[in-house]
Amino acid sequence: MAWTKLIPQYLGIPYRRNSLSTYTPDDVLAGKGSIKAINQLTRRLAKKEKVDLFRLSNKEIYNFQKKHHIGIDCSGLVCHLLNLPYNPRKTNANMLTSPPLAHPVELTAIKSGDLVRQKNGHHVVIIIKKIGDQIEYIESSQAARGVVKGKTSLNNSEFFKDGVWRLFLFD
Amino acid sequence: MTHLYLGLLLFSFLFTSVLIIPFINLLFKLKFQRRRQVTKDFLNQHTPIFDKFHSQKSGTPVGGGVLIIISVCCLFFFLFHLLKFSQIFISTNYQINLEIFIIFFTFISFGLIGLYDDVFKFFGFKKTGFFGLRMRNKLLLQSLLALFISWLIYAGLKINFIYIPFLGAVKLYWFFIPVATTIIVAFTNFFNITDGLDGLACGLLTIALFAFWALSNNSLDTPISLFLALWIGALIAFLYFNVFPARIWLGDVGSLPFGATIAVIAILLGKIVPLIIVGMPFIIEGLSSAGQIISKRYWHRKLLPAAPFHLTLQQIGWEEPKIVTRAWLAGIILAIFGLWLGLN
Repeated sequence: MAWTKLIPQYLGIPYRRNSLSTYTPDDVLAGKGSIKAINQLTRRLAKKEKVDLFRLSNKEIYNFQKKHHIGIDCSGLVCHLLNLPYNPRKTNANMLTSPPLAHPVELTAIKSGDLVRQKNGHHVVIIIKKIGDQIEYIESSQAARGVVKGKTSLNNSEFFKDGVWRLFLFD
Repeated sequence: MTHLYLGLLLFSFLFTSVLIIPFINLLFKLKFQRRRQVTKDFLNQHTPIFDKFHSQKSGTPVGGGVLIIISVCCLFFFLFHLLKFSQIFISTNYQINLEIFIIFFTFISFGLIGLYDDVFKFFGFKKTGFFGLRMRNKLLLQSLLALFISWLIYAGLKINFIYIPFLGAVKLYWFFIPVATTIIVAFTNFFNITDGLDGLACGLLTIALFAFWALSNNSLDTPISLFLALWIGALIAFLYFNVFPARIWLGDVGSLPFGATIAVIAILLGKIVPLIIVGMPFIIEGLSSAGQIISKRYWHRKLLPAAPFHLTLQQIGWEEPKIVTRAWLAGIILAIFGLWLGLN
Protein backbone atom coordinates (compact mmCIF):
# COMPACT_ATOMS: atom_id res chain seq x y z
CA MET A 1 0.00 0.00 0.00
CA ALA A 2 3.04 2.25 -0.40
CA TRP A 3 1.31 3.97 -3.29
CA THR A 4 -1.37 5.48 -1.02
CA LYS A 5 1.33 7.69 0.57
CA LEU A 6 1.61 9.51 -2.77
CA ILE A 7 -2.09 10.42 -2.88
CA PRO A 8 -1.83 13.81 -1.07
CA GLN A 9 0.75 14.99 -3.62
CA TYR A 10 -1.61 14.37 -6.53
CA LEU A 11 -4.79 15.81 -4.97
CA GLY A 12 -5.83 19.11 -6.50
CA ILE A 13 -3.92 18.76 -9.77
CA PRO A 14 -6.12 19.90 -12.68
CA TYR A 15 -7.54 17.44 -15.14
CA ARG A 16 -5.74 17.52 -18.45
CA ARG A 17 -6.33 15.38 -21.48
CA ASN A 18 -4.64 16.22 -24.72
CA SER A 19 -6.39 14.44 -27.53
CA LEU A 20 -3.34 15.07 -29.73
CA SER A 21 -0.93 13.88 -27.06
CA THR A 22 1.21 12.04 -29.61
CA TYR A 23 2.34 15.35 -31.01
CA THR A 24 3.16 16.94 -27.65
CA PRO A 25 6.71 16.13 -26.59
CA ASP A 26 6.08 17.08 -22.97
CA ASP A 27 4.41 14.35 -20.87
CA VAL A 28 2.88 16.92 -18.53
CA LEU A 29 1.18 18.85 -21.33
CA ALA A 30 -0.15 15.53 -22.62
CA GLY A 31 -1.75 14.79 -19.25
CA LYS A 32 0.68 11.95 -18.58
CA GLY A 33 3.32 13.53 -16.36
CA SER A 34 4.47 12.33 -12.94
CA ILE A 35 4.07 14.52 -9.88
CA LYS A 36 7.76 15.38 -10.10
CA ALA A 37 7.45 16.50 -13.72
CA ILE A 38 4.25 18.45 -12.97
CA ASN A 39 5.90 20.29 -10.08
CA GLN A 40 9.05 21.02 -12.10
CA LEU A 41 7.10 22.50 -14.99
CA THR A 42 4.89 24.53 -12.65
CA ARG A 43 7.96 25.97 -10.90
CA ARG A 44 9.71 26.70 -14.19
CA LEU A 45 6.72 28.57 -15.58
CA ALA A 46 6.20 30.44 -12.31
CA LYS A 47 9.83 31.54 -12.35
CA LYS A 48 9.51 32.68 -15.95
CA GLU A 49 6.41 34.71 -15.17
CA LYS A 50 7.84 35.90 -11.86
CA VAL A 51 5.03 34.36 -9.83
CA ASP A 52 5.77 33.40 -6.24
CA LEU A 53 4.06 30.06 -5.80
CA PHE A 54 4.49 30.19 -2.00
CA ARG A 55 2.21 33.21 -1.85
CA LEU A 56 -0.55 31.56 -3.85
CA SER A 57 -3.47 29.67 -2.35
CA ASN A 58 -4.25 26.15 -3.52
CA LYS A 59 -7.05 27.53 -5.68
CA GLU A 60 -4.67 30.05 -7.29
CA ILE A 61 -2.05 27.32 -7.98
CA TYR A 62 -4.80 25.22 -9.55
CA ASN A 63 -5.80 28.14 -11.78
CA PHE A 64 -2.15 28.82 -12.68
CA GLN A 65 -1.64 25.18 -13.71
CA LYS A 66 -4.95 25.08 -15.56
CA LYS A 67 -4.03 28.27 -17.45
CA HIS A 68 -0.75 26.66 -18.59
CA HIS A 69 -2.37 23.33 -19.58
CA ILE A 70 -0.66 21.48 -16.74
CA GLY A 71 -2.54 18.47 -15.42
CA ILE A 72 -3.09 14.76 -15.51
CA ASP A 73 -5.70 12.46 -16.99
CA CYS A 74 -7.28 9.38 -15.39
CA SER A 75 -4.98 6.76 -16.93
CA GLY A 76 -1.90 8.91 -16.33
CA LEU A 77 -2.87 9.07 -12.66
CA VAL A 78 -3.25 5.28 -12.52
CA CYS A 79 0.16 4.71 -14.13
CA HIS A 80 2.04 7.10 -11.87
CA LEU A 81 0.19 6.48 -8.62
CA LEU A 82 0.36 2.69 -8.91
CA ASN A 83 3.87 2.93 -10.39
CA LEU A 84 3.00 0.68 -13.31
CA PRO A 85 5.81 -0.56 -15.56
CA TYR A 86 4.12 0.86 -18.66
CA ASN A 87 4.78 3.99 -20.65
CA PRO A 88 1.93 6.32 -19.56
CA ARG A 89 1.92 7.88 -23.03
CA LYS A 90 0.90 4.51 -24.46
CA THR A 91 -1.84 3.65 -22.01
CA ASN A 92 -5.46 4.64 -21.77
CA ALA A 93 -8.39 3.85 -19.50
CA ASN A 94 -9.74 1.17 -21.81
CA MET A 95 -6.43 -0.70 -21.94
CA LEU A 96 -5.97 -0.58 -18.18
CA THR A 97 -9.39 -2.12 -17.62
CA SER A 98 -9.47 -4.85 -20.22
CA PRO A 99 -7.44 -7.93 -21.10
CA PRO A 100 -4.61 -8.67 -21.35
CA LEU A 101 -3.61 -6.04 -18.78
CA ALA A 102 -6.40 -6.72 -16.32
CA HIS A 103 -9.08 -9.22 -15.36
CA PRO A 104 -12.51 -8.62 -13.81
CA VAL A 105 -13.06 -9.13 -10.09
CA GLU A 106 -16.25 -9.50 -8.09
CA LEU A 107 -17.43 -6.52 -6.05
CA THR A 108 -17.10 -8.62 -2.91
CA ALA A 109 -13.41 -9.25 -3.65
CA ILE A 110 -12.45 -5.59 -4.14
CA LYS A 111 -9.12 -4.52 -2.71
CA SER A 112 -6.84 -1.50 -2.72
CA GLY A 113 -5.38 -0.78 -6.16
CA ASP A 114 -8.30 -2.27 -8.10
CA LEU A 115 -9.64 -0.18 -10.96
CA VAL A 116 -13.24 0.74 -11.69
CA ARG A 117 -13.99 0.91 -15.40
CA GLN A 118 -16.44 3.67 -16.29
CA LYS A 119 -18.06 5.24 -19.36
CA ASN A 120 -17.48 2.06 -21.37
CA GLY A 121 -13.71 2.30 -20.94
CA HIS A 122 -13.31 6.05 -21.35
CA HIS A 123 -12.67 6.66 -17.66
CA VAL A 124 -10.95 4.81 -14.83
CA VAL A 125 -11.06 5.23 -11.05
CA ILE A 126 -8.62 3.77 -8.50
CA ILE A 127 -9.93 2.14 -5.34
CA ILE A 128 -7.99 3.30 -2.29
CA LYS A 129 -9.68 1.13 0.30
CA LYS A 130 -12.87 -0.67 1.24
CA ILE A 131 -14.55 0.28 4.49
CA GLY A 132 -17.57 -1.93 5.19
CA ASP A 133 -19.93 -1.49 2.28
CA GLN A 134 -18.26 1.76 1.24
CA ILE A 135 -15.20 2.32 -0.89
CA GLU A 136 -12.84 5.25 -1.01
CA TYR A 137 -11.48 6.10 -4.44
CA ILE A 138 -9.32 8.60 -6.29
CA GLU A 139 -9.79 9.84 -9.84
CA SER A 140 -8.82 12.56 -12.22
CA SER A 141 -11.80 13.75 -14.20
CA GLN A 142 -13.21 16.72 -16.03
CA ALA A 143 -16.39 16.59 -13.96
CA ALA A 144 -14.47 16.67 -10.67
CA ARG A 145 -12.18 19.44 -12.04
CA GLY A 146 -9.01 17.48 -11.39
CA VAL A 147 -7.68 14.87 -9.00
CA VAL A 148 -10.08 14.24 -6.14
CA LYS A 149 -10.85 11.62 -3.56
CA GLY A 150 -14.40 10.33 -3.16
CA LYS A 151 -16.52 7.77 -1.39
CA THR A 152 -19.36 5.67 -2.62
CA SER A 153 -21.39 2.66 -1.65
CA LEU A 154 -20.82 -0.80 -3.08
CA ASN A 155 -24.53 -0.72 -3.94
CA ASN A 156 -23.97 2.16 -6.36
CA SER A 157 -24.74 0.13 -9.46
CA GLU A 158 -24.23 3.07 -11.84
CA PHE A 159 -20.68 3.60 -10.49
CA PHE A 160 -19.74 -0.07 -10.91
CA LYS A 161 -21.72 -0.63 -14.12
CA ASP A 162 -18.67 -1.54 -16.25
CA GLY A 163 -17.08 -3.65 -13.54
CA VAL A 164 -14.05 -3.68 -11.29
CA TRP A 165 -10.76 -4.81 -12.81
CA ARG A 166 -7.48 -5.95 -11.29
CA LEU A 167 -4.19 -5.69 -13.12
CA PHE A 168 -2.56 -9.09 -13.66
CA LEU A 169 0.59 -7.46 -12.25
CA PHE A 170 -1.16 -7.12 -8.87
CA ASP A 171 -2.28 -10.76 -8.62
CA MET B 1 9.30 -0.02 -29.28
CA THR B 2 7.38 -0.21 -32.59
CA HIS B 3 10.40 0.83 -34.65
CA LEU B 4 12.44 -1.88 -32.90
CA TYR B 5 9.86 -4.57 -33.74
CA LEU B 6 9.76 -3.38 -37.36
CA GLY B 7 13.53 -3.67 -37.54
CA LEU B 8 13.40 -7.16 -36.07
CA LEU B 9 10.68 -8.15 -38.56
CA LEU B 10 13.00 -7.11 -41.39
CA PHE B 11 15.89 -8.96 -39.79
CA SER B 12 13.78 -12.13 -39.50
CA PHE B 13 12.75 -11.73 -43.15
CA LEU B 14 16.39 -11.44 -44.26
CA PHE B 15 17.50 -14.32 -42.05
CA THR B 16 14.82 -16.67 -43.43
CA SER B 17 15.35 -15.43 -47.01
CA VAL B 18 19.01 -16.40 -46.84
CA LEU B 19 18.18 -19.88 -45.57
CA ILE B 20 15.15 -20.75 -47.68
CA ILE B 21 16.80 -21.69 -51.00
CA PRO B 22 19.34 -24.05 -49.41
CA PHE B 23 16.45 -25.40 -47.32
CA ILE B 24 14.33 -26.14 -50.42
CA ASN B 25 17.34 -27.93 -51.95
CA LEU B 26 17.72 -29.93 -48.75
CA LEU B 27 14.05 -30.97 -48.87
CA PHE B 28 14.54 -32.17 -52.46
CA LYS B 29 17.60 -34.11 -51.36
CA LEU B 30 15.72 -35.72 -48.46
CA LYS B 31 12.77 -36.44 -50.79
CA PHE B 32 10.40 -34.49 -48.54
CA GLN B 33 8.10 -34.03 -51.50
CA ARG B 34 4.41 -34.26 -52.07
CA ARG B 35 3.65 -37.70 -53.49
CA ARG B 36 1.33 -38.53 -56.34
CA GLN B 37 -1.54 -40.15 -54.52
CA VAL B 38 -5.13 -41.24 -54.82
CA THR B 39 -6.89 -39.54 -51.93
CA LYS B 40 -9.71 -41.08 -49.97
CA ASP B 41 -12.10 -39.37 -47.57
CA PHE B 42 -13.09 -40.54 -44.10
CA LEU B 43 -15.70 -42.90 -45.60
CA ASN B 44 -12.91 -44.50 -47.64
CA GLN B 45 -14.38 -43.09 -50.87
CA HIS B 46 -12.22 -41.58 -53.59
CA THR B 47 -12.12 -37.79 -53.89
CA PRO B 48 -11.64 -37.23 -57.63
CA ILE B 49 -12.12 -33.44 -57.49
CA PHE B 50 -9.32 -33.08 -54.94
CA ASP B 51 -7.04 -35.35 -56.98
CA LYS B 52 -7.87 -33.47 -60.21
CA PHE B 53 -6.73 -30.13 -58.80
CA HIS B 54 -3.83 -31.41 -56.75
CA SER B 55 -2.19 -33.95 -59.04
CA GLN B 56 -0.01 -31.30 -60.69
CA LYS B 57 1.30 -30.29 -57.26
CA SER B 58 3.04 -33.62 -56.65
CA GLY B 59 6.79 -33.27 -56.40
CA THR B 60 6.65 -29.92 -54.57
CA PRO B 61 8.82 -30.02 -51.43
CA VAL B 62 6.83 -30.00 -48.19
CA GLY B 63 8.11 -28.94 -44.78
CA GLY B 64 8.60 -25.17 -44.91
CA GLY B 65 7.16 -25.08 -41.40
CA VAL B 66 10.39 -26.57 -40.05
CA LEU B 67 12.43 -23.63 -41.33
CA ILE B 68 9.99 -21.05 -39.96
CA ILE B 69 9.83 -22.74 -36.55
CA ILE B 70 13.60 -23.02 -36.29
CA SER B 71 14.19 -19.43 -37.48
CA VAL B 72 11.62 -17.95 -35.11
CA CYS B 73 12.79 -19.98 -32.10
CA CYS B 74 16.49 -19.22 -32.64
CA LEU B 75 15.95 -15.53 -33.36
CA PHE B 76 13.53 -15.08 -30.43
CA PHE B 77 15.83 -16.56 -27.81
CA PHE B 78 18.86 -14.73 -29.15
CA LEU B 79 17.11 -11.37 -29.54
CA PHE B 80 15.09 -11.59 -26.33
CA HIS B 81 18.24 -12.09 -24.29
CA LEU B 82 19.94 -9.35 -26.27
CA LEU B 83 17.07 -6.97 -25.39
CA LYS B 84 17.37 -7.94 -21.73
CA PHE B 85 21.14 -7.58 -21.82
CA SER B 86 20.84 -4.16 -23.51
CA GLN B 87 18.48 -3.14 -20.68
CA ILE B 88 15.72 -2.31 -23.12
CA PHE B 89 12.50 -2.16 -21.15
CA ILE B 90 10.44 -5.33 -21.49
CA SER B 91 6.82 -4.90 -20.50
CA THR B 92 4.51 -7.82 -19.94
CA ASN B 93 1.23 -8.45 -18.21
CA TYR B 94 1.81 -12.00 -17.02
CA GLN B 95 4.64 -14.07 -15.53
CA ILE B 96 7.07 -13.61 -18.38
CA ASN B 97 8.69 -17.07 -18.25
CA LEU B 98 5.38 -18.91 -18.22
CA GLU B 99 4.00 -16.75 -21.02
CA ILE B 100 7.03 -17.50 -23.21
CA PHE B 101 6.88 -21.19 -22.29
CA ILE B 102 3.20 -21.44 -23.31
CA ILE B 103 3.83 -19.79 -26.70
CA PHE B 104 6.85 -21.92 -27.57
CA PHE B 105 5.41 -25.12 -26.15
CA THR B 106 2.44 -24.69 -28.51
CA PHE B 107 4.66 -23.76 -31.44
CA ILE B 108 7.02 -26.70 -31.02
CA SER B 109 4.75 -29.48 -29.70
CA PHE B 110 2.15 -29.07 -32.44
CA GLY B 111 5.03 -28.83 -34.91
CA LEU B 112 6.32 -32.21 -33.74
CA ILE B 113 2.90 -33.84 -34.28
CA GLY B 114 2.84 -32.35 -37.77
CA LEU B 115 6.39 -33.46 -38.52
CA TYR B 116 5.62 -36.99 -37.40
CA ASP B 117 2.57 -37.06 -39.65
CA ASP B 118 4.50 -35.56 -42.59
CA VAL B 119 7.30 -38.09 -42.31
CA PHE B 120 4.72 -40.89 -42.48
CA LYS B 121 3.25 -39.34 -45.61
CA PHE B 122 6.59 -38.73 -47.37
CA PHE B 123 7.85 -42.21 -46.90
CA GLY B 124 4.50 -43.80 -47.59
CA PHE B 125 4.22 -45.73 -44.31
CA LYS B 126 0.88 -47.38 -43.89
CA LYS B 127 -1.33 -45.57 -41.38
CA THR B 128 -2.19 -48.37 -39.04
CA GLY B 129 -2.50 -48.41 -35.28
CA PHE B 130 -1.93 -45.41 -33.05
CA PHE B 131 1.55 -44.60 -34.28
CA GLY B 132 0.35 -44.34 -37.86
CA LEU B 133 -1.56 -41.24 -36.65
CA ARG B 134 -4.99 -41.66 -38.15
CA MET B 135 -7.25 -38.63 -38.04
CA ARG B 136 -8.84 -39.56 -34.72
CA ASN B 137 -5.46 -40.24 -33.11
CA LYS B 138 -4.15 -36.93 -34.38
CA LEU B 139 -7.21 -35.18 -32.92
CA LEU B 140 -6.71 -36.96 -29.61
CA LEU B 141 -3.08 -35.86 -29.41
CA GLN B 142 -3.98 -32.30 -30.36
CA SER B 143 -6.75 -32.24 -27.75
CA LEU B 144 -4.42 -33.48 -25.01
CA LEU B 145 -1.82 -30.86 -25.85
CA ALA B 146 -4.47 -28.14 -26.10
CA LEU B 147 -5.93 -29.24 -22.76
CA PHE B 148 -2.53 -28.95 -21.10
CA ILE B 149 -1.94 -25.51 -22.65
CA SER B 150 -5.40 -24.31 -21.58
CA TRP B 151 -4.77 -25.56 -18.07
CA LEU B 152 -1.46 -23.66 -17.97
CA ILE B 153 -3.23 -20.49 -19.10
CA TYR B 154 -6.01 -20.99 -16.53
CA ALA B 155 -3.97 -22.08 -13.54
CA GLY B 156 -0.67 -20.35 -14.28
CA LEU B 157 -1.71 -17.07 -15.85
CA LYS B 158 -5.06 -16.91 -14.01
CA ILE B 159 -7.08 -16.22 -17.15
CA ASN B 160 -10.61 -17.54 -16.64
CA PHE B 161 -12.82 -15.25 -18.70
CA ILE B 162 -13.64 -14.17 -22.22
CA TYR B 163 -13.77 -10.50 -23.05
CA ILE B 164 -16.52 -9.48 -25.44
CA PRO B 165 -16.04 -6.01 -26.92
CA PHE B 166 -18.78 -3.53 -25.93
CA LEU B 167 -20.35 -6.06 -23.55
CA GLY B 168 -17.53 -6.73 -21.09
CA ALA B 169 -16.02 -9.80 -19.50
CA VAL B 170 -17.80 -13.14 -19.14
CA LYS B 171 -16.29 -15.18 -16.31
CA LEU B 172 -16.09 -18.86 -17.18
CA TYR B 173 -14.09 -20.10 -14.16
CA TRP B 174 -12.92 -23.73 -14.78
CA PHE B 175 -15.15 -23.93 -17.87
CA PHE B 176 -12.52 -21.71 -19.51
CA ILE B 177 -10.34 -24.83 -19.95
CA PRO B 178 -12.67 -26.75 -22.32
CA VAL B 179 -13.54 -23.53 -24.17
CA ALA B 180 -9.86 -22.67 -24.76
CA THR B 181 -9.09 -26.29 -25.69
CA THR B 182 -11.86 -26.25 -28.30
CA ILE B 183 -10.63 -22.97 -29.76
CA ILE B 184 -7.04 -24.22 -30.03
CA VAL B 185 -7.98 -27.58 -31.59
CA ALA B 186 -10.50 -25.96 -33.95
CA PHE B 187 -8.02 -23.38 -35.23
CA THR B 188 -5.29 -26.00 -35.59
CA ASN B 189 -7.48 -28.01 -37.94
CA PHE B 190 -9.14 -25.05 -39.67
CA PHE B 191 -5.70 -23.73 -40.63
CA ASN B 192 -4.57 -27.18 -41.73
CA ILE B 193 -7.64 -27.52 -43.97
CA THR B 194 -7.10 -24.04 -45.44
CA ASP B 195 -3.55 -24.92 -46.45
CA GLY B 196 -4.68 -26.41 -49.74
CA LEU B 197 -3.86 -23.77 -52.34
CA ASP B 198 -0.56 -22.07 -53.11
CA GLY B 199 -0.15 -19.13 -50.75
CA LEU B 200 -3.70 -19.27 -49.38
CA ALA B 201 -3.14 -20.22 -45.77
CA CYS B 202 0.21 -18.44 -45.37
CA GLY B 203 -1.03 -15.21 -46.94
CA LEU B 204 -4.13 -15.19 -44.77
CA LEU B 205 -2.04 -16.00 -41.71
CA THR B 206 0.37 -13.13 -42.43
CA ILE B 207 -2.59 -10.73 -42.67
CA ALA B 208 -4.11 -12.09 -39.44
CA LEU B 209 -0.78 -11.87 -37.64
CA PHE B 210 -0.40 -8.21 -38.63
CA ALA B 211 -3.74 -7.52 -36.93
CA PHE B 212 -2.69 -9.37 -33.78
CA TRP B 213 0.69 -7.68 -33.85
CA ALA B 214 -1.05 -4.30 -33.73
CA LEU B 215 -3.20 -5.55 -30.85
CA SER B 216 -0.22 -6.89 -28.92
CA ASN B 217 1.63 -3.62 -29.42
CA ASN B 218 -1.37 -1.84 -28.01
CA SER B 219 -1.40 -4.25 -25.08
CA LEU B 220 2.24 -3.43 -24.26
CA ASP B 221 3.25 -7.09 -24.30
CA THR B 222 6.89 -7.29 -25.41
CA PRO B 223 7.27 -11.11 -25.68
CA ILE B 224 4.18 -11.50 -27.89
CA SER B 225 5.03 -8.45 -30.02
CA LEU B 226 8.59 -9.72 -30.53
CA PHE B 227 7.42 -13.24 -31.32
CA LEU B 228 4.84 -11.99 -33.85
CA ALA B 229 7.35 -9.66 -35.53
CA LEU B 230 9.79 -12.53 -36.05
CA TRP B 231 7.04 -14.89 -37.18
CA ILE B 232 5.67 -12.39 -39.72
CA GLY B 233 9.17 -11.70 -41.08
CA ALA B 234 9.85 -15.42 -41.57
CA LEU B 235 6.40 -15.98 -43.09
CA ILE B 236 6.85 -13.23 -45.68
CA ALA B 237 10.14 -14.80 -46.80
CA PHE B 238 8.41 -18.17 -47.01
CA LEU B 239 5.37 -16.72 -48.79
CA TYR B 240 7.60 -15.50 -51.65
CA PHE B 241 8.27 -19.13 -52.53
CA ASN B 242 4.80 -20.37 -51.54
CA VAL B 243 2.71 -18.22 -53.90
CA PHE B 244 1.45 -19.76 -57.15
CA PRO B 245 3.19 -21.80 -58.52
CA ALA B 246 4.55 -22.89 -55.13
CA ARG B 247 8.15 -24.01 -54.82
CA ILE B 248 7.62 -25.10 -51.22
CA TRP B 249 4.69 -26.05 -48.98
CA LEU B 250 4.28 -25.66 -45.26
CA GLY B 251 3.25 -29.24 -44.56
CA ASP B 252 1.52 -30.37 -41.37
CA VAL B 253 4.72 -29.44 -39.54
CA GLY B 254 3.80 -25.81 -40.25
CA SER B 255 0.05 -25.82 -40.52
CA LEU B 256 -0.68 -27.54 -37.19
CA PRO B 257 1.50 -25.31 -34.97
CA PHE B 258 0.58 -22.10 -36.80
CA GLY B 259 -3.15 -22.64 -36.31
CA ALA B 260 -2.68 -23.57 -32.66
CA THR B 261 -0.29 -20.71 -31.93
CA ILE B 262 -2.47 -17.95 -33.37
CA ALA B 263 -5.31 -19.25 -31.17
CA VAL B 264 -3.07 -19.25 -28.10
CA ILE B 265 -1.82 -15.72 -28.85
CA ALA B 266 -5.42 -14.52 -29.17
CA ILE B 267 -6.29 -16.13 -25.84
CA LEU B 268 -3.24 -14.57 -24.15
CA LEU B 269 -4.21 -11.17 -25.54
CA GLY B 270 -7.82 -11.68 -24.42
CA LYS B 271 -8.96 -11.22 -28.02
CA ILE B 272 -11.04 -14.31 -28.73
CA VAL B 273 -13.85 -12.39 -30.47
CA PRO B 274 -11.38 -10.57 -32.78
CA LEU B 275 -9.81 -14.01 -33.49
CA ILE B 276 -13.17 -15.25 -34.76
CA ILE B 277 -13.43 -12.24 -37.08
CA VAL B 278 -9.81 -12.17 -38.25
CA GLY B 279 -9.76 -15.96 -38.62
CA MET B 280 -13.10 -16.10 -40.44
CA PRO B 281 -11.55 -17.40 -43.73
CA PHE B 282 -10.06 -20.33 -41.78
CA ILE B 283 -13.37 -20.93 -40.02
CA ILE B 284 -15.29 -20.95 -43.33
CA GLU B 285 -12.84 -23.44 -44.80
CA GLY B 286 -12.94 -25.64 -41.71
CA LEU B 287 -16.71 -25.56 -41.31
CA SER B 288 -17.30 -26.27 -45.01
CA SER B 289 -15.19 -29.38 -44.59
CA ALA B 290 -16.90 -30.40 -41.35
CA GLY B 291 -20.34 -29.74 -42.90
CA GLN B 292 -19.45 -31.93 -45.87
CA ILE B 293 -18.38 -34.78 -43.60
CA ILE B 294 -21.57 -34.56 -41.50
CA SER B 295 -23.77 -34.31 -44.59
CA LYS B 296 -22.09 -37.28 -46.29
CA ARG B 297 -22.23 -39.37 -43.16
CA TYR B 298 -25.80 -38.70 -42.02
CA TRP B 299 -27.68 -37.65 -45.16
CA HIS B 300 -25.53 -39.55 -47.69
CA ARG B 301 -25.25 -36.56 -49.96
CA LYS B 302 -22.81 -33.72 -50.48
CA LEU B 303 -23.40 -30.27 -49.04
CA LEU B 304 -20.98 -28.67 -51.51
CA PRO B 305 -19.62 -29.98 -54.85
CA ALA B 306 -16.26 -30.31 -53.09
CA ALA B 307 -14.87 -29.41 -49.67
CA PRO B 308 -13.15 -27.41 -48.31
CA PHE B 309 -14.70 -24.31 -49.82
CA HIS B 310 -11.68 -23.42 -52.01
CA LEU B 311 -12.15 -26.70 -53.90
CA THR B 312 -15.76 -25.73 -54.66
CA LEU B 313 -14.49 -22.45 -56.12
CA GLN B 314 -11.93 -24.36 -58.21
CA GLN B 315 -14.65 -26.74 -59.33
CA ILE B 316 -16.87 -23.89 -60.57
CA GLY B 317 -13.97 -22.61 -62.65
CA TRP B 318 -12.10 -20.02 -60.61
CA GLU B 319 -8.34 -20.01 -61.21
CA GLU B 320 -6.17 -20.81 -58.20
CA PRO B 321 -4.42 -17.38 -58.05
CA LYS B 322 -7.82 -15.67 -58.32
CA ILE B 323 -9.20 -17.59 -55.34
CA VAL B 324 -6.09 -16.86 -53.28
CA THR B 325 -5.96 -13.15 -54.12
CA ARG B 326 -9.64 -12.67 -53.35
CA ALA B 327 -9.26 -14.61 -50.10
CA TRP B 328 -6.40 -12.26 -49.14
CA LEU B 329 -8.60 -9.25 -49.87
CA ALA B 330 -11.38 -10.71 -47.73
CA GLY B 331 -8.74 -11.43 -45.08
CA ILE B 332 -7.55 -7.79 -45.11
CA ILE B 333 -11.07 -6.44 -44.61
CA LEU B 334 -11.79 -8.96 -41.84
CA ALA B 335 -8.44 -8.15 -40.19
CA ILE B 336 -9.31 -4.45 -40.17
CA PHE B 337 -12.72 -5.22 -38.66
CA GLY B 338 -11.16 -7.55 -36.09
CA LEU B 339 -8.56 -4.94 -35.23
CA TRP B 340 -11.26 -2.33 -34.72
CA LEU B 341 -13.16 -4.71 -32.44
CA GLY B 342 -10.00 -5.67 -30.58
CA LEU B 343 -9.16 -2.05 -29.82
CA ASN B 344 -12.57 -1.53 -28.20
